[in-house]
Amino acid sequence: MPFDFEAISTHNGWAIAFVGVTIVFTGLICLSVIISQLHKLVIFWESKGKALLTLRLKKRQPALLSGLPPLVQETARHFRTLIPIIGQPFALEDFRSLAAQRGIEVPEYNINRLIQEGFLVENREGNFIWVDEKRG
Amino acid sequence: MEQMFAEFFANTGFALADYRYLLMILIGIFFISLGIVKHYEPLLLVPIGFGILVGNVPTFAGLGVSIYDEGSVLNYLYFGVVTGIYPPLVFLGVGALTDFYTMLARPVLMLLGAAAQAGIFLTFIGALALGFDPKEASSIGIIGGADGPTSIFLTAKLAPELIGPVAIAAYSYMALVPVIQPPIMKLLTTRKERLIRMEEPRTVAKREKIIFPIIAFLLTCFLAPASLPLFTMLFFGNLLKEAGVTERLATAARTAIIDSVTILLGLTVGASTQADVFLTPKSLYIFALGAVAFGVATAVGVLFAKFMNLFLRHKINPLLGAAGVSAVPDSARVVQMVGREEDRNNYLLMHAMAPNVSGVIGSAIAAGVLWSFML
Repeated sequence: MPFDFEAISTHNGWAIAFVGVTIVFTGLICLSVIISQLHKLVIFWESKGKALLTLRLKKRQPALLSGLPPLVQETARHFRTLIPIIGQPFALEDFRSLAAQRGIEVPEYNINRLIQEGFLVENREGNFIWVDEKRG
Repeated sequence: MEQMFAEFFANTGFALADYRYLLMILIGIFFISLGIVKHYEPLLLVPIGFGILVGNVPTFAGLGVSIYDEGSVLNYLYFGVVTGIYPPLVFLGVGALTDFYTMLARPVLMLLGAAAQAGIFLTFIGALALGFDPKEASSIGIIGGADGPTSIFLTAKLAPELIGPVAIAAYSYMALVPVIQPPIMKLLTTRKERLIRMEEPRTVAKREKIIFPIIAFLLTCFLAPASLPLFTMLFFGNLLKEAGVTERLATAARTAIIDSVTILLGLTVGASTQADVFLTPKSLYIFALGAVAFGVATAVGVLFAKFMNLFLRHKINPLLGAAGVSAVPDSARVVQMVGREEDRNNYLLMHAMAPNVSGVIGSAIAAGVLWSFML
């Protein structure tokens, strides 16, 4: 079998080889581009899911607030007026003293209730901050 | 009575054999010993080698036991080869075994798998120049894909008379990858390049590994529909593996199914390689072209990696280009071996698996393209 370059041209060998290599490259390039973006799609999918969950939680919070007994709501409103005076974060004893000065009855019980409902949250230093939207 | 003995003896293999059958039997024994003694691809070479022994036991015409005798047991088992059933089933197991993690982590390495497939088309041209017709040339060229099932699949469709020599050549060279590739890799790279360390791949999410086979299947089949049976099984097997809820099916695919099909495929391909088919000048050319195909594919892969480094900020080790030859996982192991000869702490195996598995996809695309052109 002698080597015959004419036979390559006769059977369109050059064209088939060129087109074939091009198609293989194109296919794998397209696949690699899609794969390179796949992790972004997955992150978006997962973060969208988290965002949706957060949105649902925020929408439910007014319902949570309105779901509380009226006494707690009233107590929270009273104590919230003390925050601009005492500043944040604050020591719980100072908050209790201020509440007592302002005529709020049984401040220890009410502060305990506010902690249970999540209005008062302790930080790392042992002081407290007021949280309007968070429930414990 | 003496005449009865004489007639009986005249129909035995001893009377019917000539030097060609004996030569093929020696070749079969050689393949078996390569597998058992040298541990070169034993799961393939042992069945093929034994099949060669089976196919070259001379039988008289009309006995009806040869693989080419319609209705014989071997003929029924060979049905899966000539109709292209076995290769996709092997691909099912390959998909269930393959972890596309490193390919997903660094998709740019897929281009090395694409580059190595140029060996298929360059060998196709060489086969045309040697006088093979286009269908035969396609069957010979696909040897360069270093993918046994794909080679058998395409040859069964285009040139079934060449199944024996093509399969023997493909699997032999796959087994000899540790011998063929290293000299080419060292010739085309500098020591400095071989010392390049790859950056660690990113973490791949489980969801990506589940989505990938679906997207890859759709894209590759839309591009090369002729390879639908191969891609179906490859990506379905991978999905079974990654889904996490079909572990029983994945386990069946990568153990019982692939092992059973490998036995039948190897044995019948070997048995089809009979002396009058195999011992021809054509077979010698096929073997020569097969070696060229592997060498060219390795060289193109390595050179393309060096070309890519001209544009990449984080250089890739050009040895990885040799792993684009889709002899999974042998060519990736060869990359690891050659890399560690220069730096014992340079672990390239994980990174080499990316072009290695993308080469499987690339060779199947090439097969589909060639089949489309030959219709």
